[in-house]
Amino acid sequence: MVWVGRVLILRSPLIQMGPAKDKIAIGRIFHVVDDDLYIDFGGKFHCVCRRPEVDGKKYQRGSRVRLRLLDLELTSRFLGATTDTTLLEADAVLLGLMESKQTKQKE
Amino acid sequence: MAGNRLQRIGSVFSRTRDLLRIGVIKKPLWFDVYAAFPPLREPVYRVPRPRYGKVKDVIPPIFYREDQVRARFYRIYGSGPRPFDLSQLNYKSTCQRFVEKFNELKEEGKIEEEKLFEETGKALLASGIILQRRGTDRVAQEDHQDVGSRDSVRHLQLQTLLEEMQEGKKDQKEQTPERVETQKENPLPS
Repeated sequence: MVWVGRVLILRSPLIQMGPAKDKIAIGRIFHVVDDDLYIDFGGKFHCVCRRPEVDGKKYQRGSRVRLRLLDLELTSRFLGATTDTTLLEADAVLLGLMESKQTKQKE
Repeated sequence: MAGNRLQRIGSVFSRTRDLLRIGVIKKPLWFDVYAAFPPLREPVYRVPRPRYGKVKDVIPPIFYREDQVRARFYRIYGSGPRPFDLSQLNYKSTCQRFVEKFNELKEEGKIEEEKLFEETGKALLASGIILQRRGTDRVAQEDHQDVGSRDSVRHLQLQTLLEEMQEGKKDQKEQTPERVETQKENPLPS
């Protein structure tokens, strides 16, 4: 049974990605609060990015964006604590909007 | 902050019973069964006993044989030409293709160990996936071959680039090149 779980993880694209540092991923914005964009890229947690100045209005709910992942989960341990404190958020840098297939097929 | 601490208050049964009394949830299927046959110990959360001295929790790390190939791939080629789209269920990243090609070539057995990595890179270039070198090659490899192999790979890259420019598909970007692989292999939802 342990073997089955191991194989399931082996086949999963998240594990095949490996450590998330500096990996380019595609995310989807699922919530917008003024200038904050909540982006889900398929990891355990979502990330929150600030709306960029360039093409600011194009970032709406459902837009696909390119991200550079920095951390899958922001955690750290405070002095004297027994367990880490987690923010339940991932960390990523917003690179820009995802070039859709339609724009590519026009070429 | 971190949401659900509710598992530490009482047990599942006491929480469900109280919620039922208020009228917030409807009665779950297991409720009467549990009430009739409760367990010996009520499942209240208990803080695990702290371990002292040399006693350590033995959790073996999960390593796969492909991890070595993957580590090398990421060290040399960086993140890969295509961004990871994890929303798809059977997504195959460039690294995964590399690993599969590597295993195929290894099973064939015709190429020797040191050349295997470069051959996989060339095989991927032949199928249309351009890999841009970002890091230095592995220290374990011979250093004098490093310059030669890098030039040959770059030459191959330039060749495929030229072919695509003639076909009229190329769109030059500053950082990473556009993904060139056949779309039928991985149809992205538009």
